This record gives sequence, C-alpha cells and structure tokens, in this order.
Amino acid sequence: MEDIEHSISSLVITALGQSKLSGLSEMLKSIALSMNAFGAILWQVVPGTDLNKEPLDGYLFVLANWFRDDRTLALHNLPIGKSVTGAAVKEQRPINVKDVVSNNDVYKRDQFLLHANIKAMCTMPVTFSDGARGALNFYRNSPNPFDESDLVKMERFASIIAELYQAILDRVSFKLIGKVNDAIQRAEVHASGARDSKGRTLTSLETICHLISNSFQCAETSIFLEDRLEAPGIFKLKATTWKGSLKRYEYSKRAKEGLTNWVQTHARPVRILDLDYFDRDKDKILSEYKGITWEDSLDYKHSGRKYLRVDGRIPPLSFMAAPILSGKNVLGVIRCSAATKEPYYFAERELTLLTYVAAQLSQYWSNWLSLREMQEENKSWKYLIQIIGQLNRFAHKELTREKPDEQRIFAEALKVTSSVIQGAEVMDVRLLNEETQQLYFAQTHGTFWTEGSPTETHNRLNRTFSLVGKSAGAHVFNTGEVRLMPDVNKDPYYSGTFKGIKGMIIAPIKIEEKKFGVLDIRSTGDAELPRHAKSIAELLGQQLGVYHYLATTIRDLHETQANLNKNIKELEKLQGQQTQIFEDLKHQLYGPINQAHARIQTLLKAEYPNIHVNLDNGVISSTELSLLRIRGLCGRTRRVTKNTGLLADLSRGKTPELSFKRLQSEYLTNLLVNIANDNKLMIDPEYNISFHVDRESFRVLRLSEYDADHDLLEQALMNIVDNAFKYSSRKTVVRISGGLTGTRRFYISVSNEGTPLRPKDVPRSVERGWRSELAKWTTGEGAGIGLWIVHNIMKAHTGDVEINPTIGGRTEVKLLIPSAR
Amino acid sequence: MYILVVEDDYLQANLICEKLTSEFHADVKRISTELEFRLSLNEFEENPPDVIVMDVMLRWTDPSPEIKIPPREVRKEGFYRAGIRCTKILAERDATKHIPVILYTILEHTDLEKQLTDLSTVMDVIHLRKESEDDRLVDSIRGLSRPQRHR
Repeated sequence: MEDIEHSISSLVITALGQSKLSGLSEMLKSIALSMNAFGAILWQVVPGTDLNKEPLDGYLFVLANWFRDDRTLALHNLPIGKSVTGAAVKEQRPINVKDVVSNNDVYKRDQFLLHANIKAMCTMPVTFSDGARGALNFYRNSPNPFDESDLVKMERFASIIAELYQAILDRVSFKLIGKVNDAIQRAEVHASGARDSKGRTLTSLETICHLISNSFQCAETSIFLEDRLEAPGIFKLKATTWKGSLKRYEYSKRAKEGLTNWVQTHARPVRILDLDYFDRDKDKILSEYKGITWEDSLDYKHSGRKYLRVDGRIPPLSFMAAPILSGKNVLGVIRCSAATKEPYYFAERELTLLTYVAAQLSQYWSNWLSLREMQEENKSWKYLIQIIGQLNRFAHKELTREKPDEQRIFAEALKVTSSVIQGAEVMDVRLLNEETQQLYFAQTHGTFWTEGSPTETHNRLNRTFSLVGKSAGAHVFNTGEVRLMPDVNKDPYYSGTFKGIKGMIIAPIKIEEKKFGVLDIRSTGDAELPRHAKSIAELLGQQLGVYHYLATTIRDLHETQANLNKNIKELEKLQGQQTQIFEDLKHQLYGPINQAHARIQTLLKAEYPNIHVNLDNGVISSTELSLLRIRGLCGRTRRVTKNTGLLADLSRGKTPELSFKRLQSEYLTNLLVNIANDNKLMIDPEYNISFHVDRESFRVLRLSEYDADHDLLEQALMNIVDNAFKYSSRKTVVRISGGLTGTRRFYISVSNEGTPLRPKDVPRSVERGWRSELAKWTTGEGAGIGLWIVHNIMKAHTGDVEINPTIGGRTEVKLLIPSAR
Repeated sequence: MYILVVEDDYLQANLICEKLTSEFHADVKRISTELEFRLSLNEFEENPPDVIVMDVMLRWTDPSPEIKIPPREVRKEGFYRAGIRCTKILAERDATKHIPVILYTILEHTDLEKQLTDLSTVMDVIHLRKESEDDRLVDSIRGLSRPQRHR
C-alpha cells in the first residue's frame, strides 16, 4: 500500500510538472516504471464510436505511450471488437494476459507487440472526464506476467490517470490562452501606432500560429482571414507554420470543396481523427459533417509527407479547424493538422481550445479591421476635402462659361466619387424631369452602363423612375434622407437596374429642402461599401445640389440677359426707327408747307411774270401752275398729316372708323386724275414721267355696287399713286385702271416702271416701317408706313391690297374692294 | 457767281434756284442725288462753286431698274445725313475744302450739333433751317463775303 501511495504521489508530482501534451508520456513513464513494465499505452476510443453497436466496428487510438526503448507508437486502428483492449473497454473490466504470444484474443495485426517482444500485458478500462472511454495498458517483455498486486496498482492508476490527464490539458490550455492573449495584446499596441501595421499584424499572426503549433504539437497551424477592405469575400492565408507549399492560399466565400471551406461556409468547427482513413471513415465523417470533402491542400498524400516523418514513420494525419466568428459573420478559419508528437490525435478538448483561440483572434481581427476602417475613413475624409476643392474649381470654371454644362460637372463628380469611396463602381446622377415628375439618368459612370447589346444599353440609360410607388430612388427623393442598402438583393426597394450589384447608397441631390434628384453609388461582386460612404454620399449629394442650382440659375440669367439684350437692341432699333420716322415726317410735312407758303407769298408779291407753260395736257399760265403745285403740296401735307394720324391710331390698336358711300365711276376717275396730276407736277419735268388713267375701265362701277369710305380710300389712293411716281424712272408712264376680279371684287390698279420690287420683298412691303434697300436708295424720304396704312384701310373695308412684284419692268399695286351686296 | 444747290425735292430746289438766280444773277446749278454729287466731284475741283446750298436728307440716286449700289457708309447711315457726308467729302479735298457750305435743312441745329461741331473744325459750314421765307438764305450767302462760322 505504501508502495502504491508513493507511486501515486510521484505520478501526481510528475503530472503537475507538465505543461505540454507530451507530458502524458512522462506520466506513463512514471506509472510504467512503478509497475516494472516495459511500456505503457493510454488508449482512447475514437469519438463517435457506438460501443453498443453489434457488431462493434469502432477503433481505439493511442492517446499517449511510453516504452523503455523510447519507441513511440502512433496507432489509431486497434479494433474494439477484435482486441483484448477493446474487450476491456466494452466490458469495463480489466483483462490480464499472461502470455501474449499464445493468446489469440490479442490483436497482433500491427505487429508491434511481436516486434517489441511483448510477453505479457494488462489492460484497464478508463473513463475520461468528458465521458470518453479508453484503456490503460501495461506491457512486459520478460516472461513475468502481472500479478494481483500489480492489478490493484493498475486499478488505482487507471482511476486517476483521467484526472491527471485533464490537469495537464488544463495547464496546457491556460498556458496557450495566456500566450495567445499576450501575443494579441502586443499586436494591438503595435497596430495602433505603427506605420507598417499590416506587416506587424502578419508577424503577430505568425507568432500565434507557432504558439498553437507548439501547444498542440502539430506540423501545421494556419490562419485564413477575410480582409473586407482589400478583398471582400476571400479568405486569404495570413500565417502558417507549414514548411511546404499549399495547393490553396485562399478560399472564396462561395467555394464548396475542401475541409476549410466547409468550416467557413457552415461556421462550425471540424475534427477528423486521421485524414489517411478519410475514405474508410467517410460515412461516419459525413454523418457528422454533411457534404464535407477533402482536397488535400497540403498534399499529404505525396509531397507533404516529407515534412511529417516522425522517427521514420508517418504519424496519423489528424485535422481540426475552427471558424473565426464575429456574431454570425465568419471572419476566417484557423486550422491545425498532423500532430507530430503524442497524442497524435486532436481530442475534442483541443478543438474546444482552438475554438477559444479563434474567438480571441476574432476580437483581434475585428478590432484591427475597425482600426483600419477608421484610418481609411480618415484618409477618405482628408481626400474628400481635397477632392471637393478640386471639384469646386472645376465647377467654377464650368459655371463661368457662357453656357455652363452641368453634365460635365456631374461627370467629374462621379469620377472623383469612385476614387473617394472604395468599392464604388457603378454610379449615376438622376434628376427630376419637372414635366413628367420622373427621375431620369442625367449622367452615369462605370462600365456596367454599356454592358450588353446596344438595345439593352439604350433601354437602361433611358429608363425613368416614378416618384410614386415602391422604389428606393423615389423614397430617397421624397424623404430627403440617404439610404444605404448593404445587399440590394435582400432589399425590396431595389429596382433591379443592374444584376451583380452588392451594395448601394442613394443620396438626395438638394439644397436645403429644394430637391433636384438623387445620387446613386453601387458596389459589385462581394465588395461592401465602407460605412462612412453614407456620410460622404450625403455630402456629395448636397454639393451636386449646389452645382445644379448654380448652373440652372446661371443659364436662366444668361437667357434673361440675352433676351434683355435682344429687347434692348429691338428697342434701340425701334427708337432709331421712330427717330427716323419723326425726322422723315417732319421733312415730309415741313417741306411742302414751307414751299406752299413760299409760293403763295410769291404769287401775292407777283414777283415773277405770269407766263404760259407747256404741259402734257396743254398750256397753262405760270400762276395756274403755281396754284396747282400749291394744291399738290397741300395735298401732300394733308396726306402725310393723315398718315401720321392713322399711324398713331393703328399703333394704339384702333381700327379706322368707316363711313361708307357708294363709289361712282366719275368721282373715282376724277379723283385719280387729280392725284396723279398733282404728283406729276411736283416732280422734275425733265424726268418726263407721265401718267394714264383708263377711264373706260372704271365703267364697271356703273353696273355694280361698291361702297367705300371716300376719305380713307382717297388716302389709300394718294399713298399708292405717290409711291408709283416716287419710284418711277425717267421717261416712264404711271398707269391707273380699274376692273372686276374673278370673284367680283372691284379693283383699282396703279402700276409703274422704275425701282424694282423683288418677289421676296412683297410680303414685307405691307409691314410697318419696312422699306426695301432699293427704295431707300432711290427716294430718300419715306417712313415705310404708306403701304402698311393702305393695307389697314383695305382690311377695314374687308378688302385687300394685292402687290405684284416687278414683272416685265412694271410693279403693280391693286386695291380690292368687295361688293356691297 | 456760281452757286451749287444740292436738293432732291424738285419743287424745293425750284424755289431756291429761282430765288438765288433772281437775287444774285448767279449761275445756279442743281444736283438732286448724292450719287450725282459724288460723280461731280472732279468737276467741283476744277471749277469750285462759290457756295453750296446743301440739303441734309438727300436720296442716293434716282429710281431706275438698274441701281448703282451705294458705298458701305451710305448703306449703313441711310439718306438721313447724306448732306453731311457730302460736306465731309468736300472737306477731305484740298481743292474743295474752302468752299463754304450752307446746310439748308428742316432739321434743327440740335439734331446736327455733333456733326456741325466736327465739320466746323475743317470747313466753313453754316446751318440754316428751311423756312418759307428764303430771305435768310439770301442773307447768309451775302454774308459769306465776310468770315463765317456755323450758326
């Protein structure tokens, strides 16, 4: 008994001194020596084995072992149903085999018992603290089987070995957690202040990998993490202790194949005892991890093996991996494989520990990403300030042009937005069409816009969005609030203009409460828009609002100014015209009045002798000639005065008041003769311009009834006859005639030869103030109102004035009077 | 005495010519258009008139199917200041710049103030408003034997 107690004390002291998993071997050494055994093995049942199943098909694997000749065994396929050890585990009783060689129940397939020349063995069932079953075996290679006292000792050892194993595990766990904590804390201090924080982070992760590898005694510990700022949706290898090459250095969020992929897609840890028996144990593995596959990314089947040799043998390829989670979000995966020291298998405890380390890594990585995001955000804001300055200068240059084009400003703004907001790839400005109350694409940015056929592109660019109804753009426009959609595919408001869009921000383009449109910013693929993008988009939206307002206002101002200038020019022209009209009227009035007065004075003073003068139509005295001229001058004055009065009335919109009287042939012809004669007497006789009134042609008036206001008709006739003489060349005849048109209207025709009237000038000839260039050059005085007044007089008579341009040398003006009936 | 009357209104010119012929027993010649005036410049250089009675509002040429296109300043300014143009042309030539010119017009002095000021620096120019009594014209011509300034 004393001997047992001493042995147990020694065992406990040994166990408490262990801080590595390989300390188990030390414990077994201590036990074996006290049992005078050649060696000892601590077995454990492979997790998931159903010990009640018939037939029993589970296995035992070596958790730890010690032999006097320092051999190590890495076995994991001791069948429970076919071995003495298995029987002890199943039946929960010790089994003492005094002669191993001759006992057929002893499993000899692995040959190690024979090679080690084991003669006797004893197996004791063990139950671990997590409920797992196992056995503690002792071996002797001398023909000295274990006796009853040995069995008692063994039983004691078996009863405490599980607790001691747990103690070692706890120590290892605490030590590992402490070291990982320290490593992370050092890493966080470096990350906050260091310039090369990224480099230091990778170094820290490598340190953590080595810590884990050392603790779990595995050949490979690798950490894969997603850096959503650099490569969203991709889990890249950040650190590893694997000395060889990997088939994969990154995993996509969407990938399905491989153990590591399974962990990240299912967000669950995985533990596989031995990858070498993946195919053999596939059913069991798949029942626990549905759909899992093994890609052998470390190439364990071939080149990877050279890194695993342990004392010349290949150990079991144990594997475990845990997701690095932040809530439900998978940030990465940490995995370990190929233990190189006993125990060669990762127990559930190791996986739990790995999961705990993963949680610490999650915190660390999240913090680091947040710090980087903050740094990126600060950088973005600094850059934005710079960019806004540039944009303002660009906008200023554009707005100071005569016709500012805000499309260019929008294009520039979208271009700079893509440089400020990481991930912003597909952008546009939508403005409101005031008439249709729909949003339309005013400017776009990004190659997505021109993808597809020309028809698709056209339809996309010309799409409009109603302000009524369920659409994100309408919602933003109406509320004036920025909207962030992290995943448009999950948002019912997304209109689906593009496929392949991940995130979207819509910001209103406005000034104060006045809204003009919206700014759309989209990311594609797995790229997420940074959190601060929403604030930036809001700011840019307001900036675009200012530019749009300014551009519109400036354009309106330019237009107003242009209209003002045009109006000023027209007013100036009108003023000029009016000045000319007044000067001309003064000339036309003053001249004849002066002359008439002078001639009357001369006649009264009888300054010149009364001589006879030859005229076309006979001889008259010079006195009569003077009187006739005076009559002509007075007639001209009267005509010009009346024209002036009509000009004033018509300019005010007043229609001439008519007093109709029947037109008589004799009256009309006499009137025409007098008018023509008066005109003739006022022109230089050397010009030899004569006239002819076709009296016969006016006889039609005897047969038909035509009424007119005689005063106004006389005025009209005086105007057109005056024109005819004024524009006649030397030695020509002014012809005056009458008649009926095909529609029974009575016409008076006056035609002359001289200054031509071009056909294209005919419509303008009745415009107020208009005179052709040729007319201005050949007559001098004239306000351009004569025909305009004639036109209005005839309109008042519901008649017309017909102007026939110069054909065959003659220009004709016809007054048309409708029948009184 | 040789008086040139530049006046496009026949009756007005007739009155003036009759009066001046009677008063001065002068050789009175009439020109009725600006074109005719310009075409006669060489003649004026060779045989300058003693005085020119110049209407201000003067047509370019007589009506005709074929019209000579006037120079740019005539097209731009029109007939309203033709007499001023003709006077300036006289002022530009050594042989004619000394000829006194009476701007005989219905236009007021204030209508022509700037042009008169400019012309007076280079020529003897008198402004006379047309009245029914043409004695003032006669008096003005008589007064040209003494040094004159524009009135």
